[in-house]
Amino acid sequence: MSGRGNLRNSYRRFGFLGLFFITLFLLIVVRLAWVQIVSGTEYGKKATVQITDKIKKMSPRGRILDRNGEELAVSIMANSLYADPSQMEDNPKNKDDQGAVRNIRRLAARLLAPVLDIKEDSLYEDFSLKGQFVWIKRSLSPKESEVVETIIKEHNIPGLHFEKESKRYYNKRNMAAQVLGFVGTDDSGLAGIELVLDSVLKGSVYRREEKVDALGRPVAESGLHDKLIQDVSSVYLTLDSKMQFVLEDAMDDAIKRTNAAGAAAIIMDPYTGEILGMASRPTFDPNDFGEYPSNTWLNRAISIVYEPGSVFKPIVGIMGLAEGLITPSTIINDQGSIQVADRRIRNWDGSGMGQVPFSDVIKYSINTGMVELGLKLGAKREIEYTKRFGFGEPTGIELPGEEEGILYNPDDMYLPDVATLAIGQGIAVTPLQVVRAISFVANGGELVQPYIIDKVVAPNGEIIRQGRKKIERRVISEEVAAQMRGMMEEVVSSGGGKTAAIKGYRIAGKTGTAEKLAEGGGYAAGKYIASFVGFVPADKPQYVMLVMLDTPQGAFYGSQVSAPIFRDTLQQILVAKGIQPSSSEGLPSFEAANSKTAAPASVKKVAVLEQVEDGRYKIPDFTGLDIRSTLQCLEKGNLELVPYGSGRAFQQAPSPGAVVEKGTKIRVWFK
Amino acid sequence: MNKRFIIWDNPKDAIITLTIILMIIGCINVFSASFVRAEAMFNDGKFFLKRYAAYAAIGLSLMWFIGWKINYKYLLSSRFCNLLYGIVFVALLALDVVGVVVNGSRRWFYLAGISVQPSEIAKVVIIMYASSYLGMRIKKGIEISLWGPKTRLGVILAFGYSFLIFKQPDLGTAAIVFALMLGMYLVAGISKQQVLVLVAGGMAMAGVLAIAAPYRLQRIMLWLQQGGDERGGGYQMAQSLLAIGSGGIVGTPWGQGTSKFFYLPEAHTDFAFANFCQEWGFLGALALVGTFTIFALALFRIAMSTKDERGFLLVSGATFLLIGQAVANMAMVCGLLPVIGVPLTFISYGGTSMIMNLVSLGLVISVYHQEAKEELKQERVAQGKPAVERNGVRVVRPSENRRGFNEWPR
Repeated sequence: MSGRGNLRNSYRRFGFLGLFFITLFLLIVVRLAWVQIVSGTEYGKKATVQITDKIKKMSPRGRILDRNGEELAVSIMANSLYADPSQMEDNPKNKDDQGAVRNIRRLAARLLAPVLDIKEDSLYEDFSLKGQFVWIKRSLSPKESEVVETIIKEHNIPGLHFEKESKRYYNKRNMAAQVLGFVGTDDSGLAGIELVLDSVLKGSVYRREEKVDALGRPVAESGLHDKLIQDVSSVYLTLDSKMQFVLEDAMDDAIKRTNAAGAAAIIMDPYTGEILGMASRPTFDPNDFGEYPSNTWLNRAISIVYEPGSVFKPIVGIMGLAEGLITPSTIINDQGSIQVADRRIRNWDGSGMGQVPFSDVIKYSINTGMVELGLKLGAKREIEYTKRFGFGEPTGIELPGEEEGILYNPDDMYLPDVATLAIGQGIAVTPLQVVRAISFVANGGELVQPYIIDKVVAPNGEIIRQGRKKIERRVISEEVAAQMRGMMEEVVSSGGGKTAAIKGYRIAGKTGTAEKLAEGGGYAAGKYIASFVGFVPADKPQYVMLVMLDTPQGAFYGSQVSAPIFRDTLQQILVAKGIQPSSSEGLPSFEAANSKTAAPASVKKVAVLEQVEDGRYKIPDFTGLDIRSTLQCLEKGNLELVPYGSGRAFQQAPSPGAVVEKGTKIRVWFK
Repeated sequence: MNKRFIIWDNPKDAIITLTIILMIIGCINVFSASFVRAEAMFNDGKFFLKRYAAYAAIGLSLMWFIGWKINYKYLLSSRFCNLLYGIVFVALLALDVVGVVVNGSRRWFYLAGISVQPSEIAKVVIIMYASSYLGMRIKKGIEISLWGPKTRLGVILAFGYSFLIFKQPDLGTAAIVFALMLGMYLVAGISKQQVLVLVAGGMAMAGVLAIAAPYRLQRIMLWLQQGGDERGGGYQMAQSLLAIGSGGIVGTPWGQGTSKFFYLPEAHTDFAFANFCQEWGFLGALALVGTFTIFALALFRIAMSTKDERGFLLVSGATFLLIGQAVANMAMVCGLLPVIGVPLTFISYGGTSMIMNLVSLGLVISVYHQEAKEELKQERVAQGKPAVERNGVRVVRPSENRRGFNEWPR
């Protein structure tokens, strides 16, 4: 064979190449020694820094609940959708059942566009970006997230992933929106309770080092989020969401009917100062607060000042009673108008009623009588009392942006000012100040501090802050309060506030209509503030409520527009809360009819809701009960009644004896 | 041929043992480097590991078949080589139509659910073709020249492949395919002038290509800066060095390396060595380089004792493929060379590449077997016996002798 000779040169060449390779191996080893041994520590540090992310992790914001534990604002870890475009390439791995290569990007864009409400082309562009991480949509709603998940699974789409992010939900949308406030993108409270209790609600901030991958996603298992949920305090408000709901509903209705520019309403417990309901119009949805003008964020119940008008008359009347200047039966001569220095002050219709007791001055809202009283009091006493009654200073409620109102300096008051203050002019007050002042009439003379935070409960169940009744001071005697209650009750029963009457209940109240203060000072011509404030039941007041409408169109008297709102709202609340009417006179017929005809046994029958275990209740037999008793019974278990018909219960679902969760809807048929 | 090689009876045993060792290391490393990505992409952390094992099984079967059952000389017949060349040429052409775009280039197509990368097959075909074509010409005493009319066909054909691969685009593999052919010419014995021309031409070509495309120049500049522009074009290199360096002397424990968390691109393919260095440290890397070195020595031993021209060229080519690529890859990963896409033999994940590596090993073993037979013949001749038993008498083991004498064909 001649091979050997021919190949001699080749062997040598090959040998050289072999040496070359071996040399390179040696070079590589030297290089590795340099990188791993000499610079190893440095690189090691760099690698540690690279994978360690100092993360600041917020636990989801604390919940806000009403007094009964109903959720008003909750934060949940919402799914945010992101794409890894590199996984969505026209890769042969991305095949359909027939084995054909699919255009994943187009497919995903087409399927997701309607779900996410994003244009298909813009989605397609996102999916086609270079890189491995692009946000598609942040904080999906649970429903969106579910649909997207199904699509991903069904069509086996690669490259779409979720990440948990905290998102605030206001379950009841615009209910108590101004009270609750809202939260900005960085999870910091910007208004309302969210702002006031930001430090509490924000809960714990976790700063920790975590191993993350190149996209900043934690490498460790993500059971983390679930644990955090427990770690935030919950805030319970004094609000009662059922009452709030009725209130909001009434406000919406009022705005629709009167076209008012704004409105405010407050329901308060006169004894404790607990705010049970507080509504403001115009309103907004805190879930999307950015889409509403900022004036809708204003809580008009505490943040605007207005002239109270006639609503202020009982308050001045109290001054007279307290000073002994008058009694309810003191006779006043009403001439229809009265001259004070250079000003003539008239009654609303200009006519006089002649010799009337002082109680009629309040009852019929007679200006002349009030002016006489005001002049007797004088500037100093007027302002002194006004201040004592809590005007001219914030009430101290735990809400941001409270106004203090405007009072005259008594030394600067001319005689006409002294006179008109008695009819509620020349003073600026907030709705809440009025509610507080009327409350001491209702509760027998104690000025309470309104509060809205019931309690703050730590995750371990410990109450870290408890809202308490706080009496600022006793401002009038029980007798004086009782006298004024009597007068105010007459306003509704037979005076100028009849439109507020609720059949069967004793209501006390006062209407008021005042010209609106213009922004630059003076009055805004043709613009009125119509208000009504009152309490119920008049003999044993449970609720004080104020309704204020700003510039209603058409009818503008408090008695015409505000009092009916008061009536409609409280009527529903009284029934729902099971507050018994003082008399059965004029009650809806079924009550009267049944009290006569129904068998005594069924009337006396009491249905008792039995708590089986925590949060689970055994449903009793409601047969024979009326709606109110049924409601009362269900109330205890926080169960919801869905009534059909009226009269006495004859059928129910679930049937007696069934065990249900709290919050379950119970349907009961009445006839 | 049968002389002892280090601790083994012969270099063939060494190659087989080392292959198994490398594949075990590859398995472990591919799994560690890929499970995060596999989990994210396929919800199956062992996805790449399973594929690796499957490709290894296919490759080992082919290696056994070629190495033990086939005489390489049949495979090197010019007709078979032309056929092979043609098939792969058509496959490369067909990529334009059936190829799948991954990272902007068409390198793969799918055949019965298996991804095939024709350019990897092209590497082995080039070696076989060169062995056949040049081996024949050495035997005939024809002077080997890059442009001589009787010997230039190999260069032209390799250029054909390179051009098609370059168009995918995949400059790295195109260059490797062409360089393999030139390497075969170099070993086959081109003149010293031509060697100089090759060196000069190669440098000029590199310069032209670098300037023609700015990103290549940038890559080279980045390579010269060593770890510059960590956030931009130098990201991969910087991450590679970070991975290697952070391994230190003993490495992070296995599976604890951090690069796989999407920091190091191609952590289980081209940059698998970086992941290995991170988890096994300098000592591990030293052992791996050492394994490759011994592997290389074993291949050299076989090549140097192969007397058949075609066989010698085949073993040389396989050495270039198996060892040359490994050297290039390791040098690239640790920053001694600019980044070019070349896999690390048996360690990088890559189906076609793995199978073709094992096929080339099969060819080497086939050469070894044939050479051993030839040596036996020579010994018999030296002892004065006929090289082969003649007179129509064939020595068969009794178990194989299942026919009557009169049934034997003439």
